Amino acid sequence: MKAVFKLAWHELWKRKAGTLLLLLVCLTAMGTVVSAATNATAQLYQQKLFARSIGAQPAEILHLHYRTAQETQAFANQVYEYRQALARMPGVKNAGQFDACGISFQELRGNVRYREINRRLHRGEALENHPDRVQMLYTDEALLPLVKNGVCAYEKASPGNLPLYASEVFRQILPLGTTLTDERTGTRYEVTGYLPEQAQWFDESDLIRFPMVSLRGWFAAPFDEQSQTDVLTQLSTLHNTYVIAADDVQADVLKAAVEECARGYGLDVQVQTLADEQEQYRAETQSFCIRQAALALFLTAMAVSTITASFTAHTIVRQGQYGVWLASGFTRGTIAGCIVMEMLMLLIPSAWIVWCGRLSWLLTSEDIGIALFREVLLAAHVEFTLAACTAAAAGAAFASALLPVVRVFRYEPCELIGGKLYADH
Amino acid sequence: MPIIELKNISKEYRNDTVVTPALKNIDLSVEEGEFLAIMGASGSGKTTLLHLIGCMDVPTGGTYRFDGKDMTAADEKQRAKIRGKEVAFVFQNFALIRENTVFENAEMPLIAQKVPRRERKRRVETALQAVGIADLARKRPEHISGGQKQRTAIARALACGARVLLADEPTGALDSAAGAEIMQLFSRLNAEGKTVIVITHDSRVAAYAHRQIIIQDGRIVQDETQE
Repeated sequence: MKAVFKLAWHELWKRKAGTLLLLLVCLTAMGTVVSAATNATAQLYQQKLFARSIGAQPAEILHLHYRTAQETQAFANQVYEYRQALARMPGVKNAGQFDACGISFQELRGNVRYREINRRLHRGEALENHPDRVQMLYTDEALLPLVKNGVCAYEKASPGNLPLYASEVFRQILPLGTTLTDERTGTRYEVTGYLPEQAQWFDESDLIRFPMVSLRGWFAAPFDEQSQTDVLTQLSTLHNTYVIAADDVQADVLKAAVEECARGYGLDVQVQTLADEQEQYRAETQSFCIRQAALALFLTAMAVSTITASFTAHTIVRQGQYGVWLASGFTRGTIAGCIVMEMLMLLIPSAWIVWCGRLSWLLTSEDIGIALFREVLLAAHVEFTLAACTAAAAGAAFASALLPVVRVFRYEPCELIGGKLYADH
Repeated sequence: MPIIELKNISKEYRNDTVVTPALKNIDLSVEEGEFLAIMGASGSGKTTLLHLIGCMDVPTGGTYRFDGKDMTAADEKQRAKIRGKEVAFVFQNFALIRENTVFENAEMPLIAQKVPRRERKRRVETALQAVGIADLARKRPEHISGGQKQRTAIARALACGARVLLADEPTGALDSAAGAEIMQLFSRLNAEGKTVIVITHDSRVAAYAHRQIIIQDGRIVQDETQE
């Protein structure tokens, strides 16, 4: 093995220009393979991360879709009463809604330290220019366990105040007991706890299609009483209403009951479990994943054919040299091993260089699309792509070596030594 | 016991339906320390015989023993072991690797034998010294003369400790002066105990050998020992 490695290294080193050229070909091929592999599997990892983060089985979480809505107080009242009925319904463990929006606290407007932290947190984003704004997640206490955040309930606040959870990053400047006032509504909040740094929540647009967002720099609080029947708030939270089924309840039965209950309040609601929504998403993205996988395969095949052509040509040109090796006591197996080793020494480092480059880019890119999906892409890149591209590189090396090695074995040793020899000029 | 013993050796080359006999019923014994010249016209089977002796090829029929060991049914690994250690080739066109230095060309068989680096260095330097080209160790083949290239090939043979030197027209690409130097070198090595087998068309080269064999149409037609 040592002799094979030494021979292969020497062969690559003495033909530096050719080796460099082949390395560029390998880097280009592996670059597209790595990229395609990460893109193809990112969707799967999004699902995995999602499933790891939620506090209940997807089949037990019902998502309510309101088919019609009216911008009227009567509608808001109906929705409120319907939600109250859902919370009391047999078979329902929890029911509630959540909403995310930007607000301002009077006390933080002029707070220099807050502004400094916020500006740093939102560098490169729209909020960088509005560091006094607050990202607020309103969520019913019943829905807090929906995500494994370590926050399952709101701590009690002083009378007249609503409990408020501030992000851990603000702990030093907003100690427990700090009161903050919503500029627009006048609602008073009291800091009663902190959201852990790694806390996440759903991107409210679409639980399934978008990855979870970090709550670093956010605040969380329950809806105030006024919001429960506020028209705009209720219309805003309609698509974020969820029911968590009790353990021993069949989801299909509960779905029907929830829909029936809605009709009782004059509402047209369709219910889907998160599992159903995930399945739909998987079907939608399957064709994309297949295309990405096919692209990766195609590019690997192109790389293999390029490298095969180069090495087969090399084998023909080096025929005499192989004859010298045979006359010196090497076997054809050693020569074959040398050819394979040369390819491995080009392809595997290429794959790793490209993988590291892309990792670095994923970690540092300020592109909004990347930033949003960073955790998903990194998980896919680290957990899958490294192994996949190493295997692809090794497979490509062996596939590329097939033709040159077969060529070497087709000849008897004396035929190789009878070929054109090197130093006869 | 002869170091090389061929009994009823034949070799045929097959190409689809065409069968070309290269050697027919060859019986040959070579004692250790002999200096043998093999002569014959082009296509008579001289090179084929040399390749069989050097385990670069396998006979179609008959038996071949090297130092008492039956090599007829040996696998490639066993044959490679003989090639790198016991037998060394010297070719008309030198068979040097252009990108390697003189030193690296000479150490090639030692790498095959997995000899440690220090030992390789010692043996190659000794071999280069023995053939008079120690000062050319770092030169590449394109920067040395034909005679020096052939000396490099001989140094390669000495470094690996081969007991048998197989030379295929070793002076074919050299001028007469350089050719004479090479043959004198072979004579010296033979005097030191090496078995030397030379293929040649040149009777002046054959004259250095103690024994001459003539091959014609794949058969030995003459086998003479000079006094």
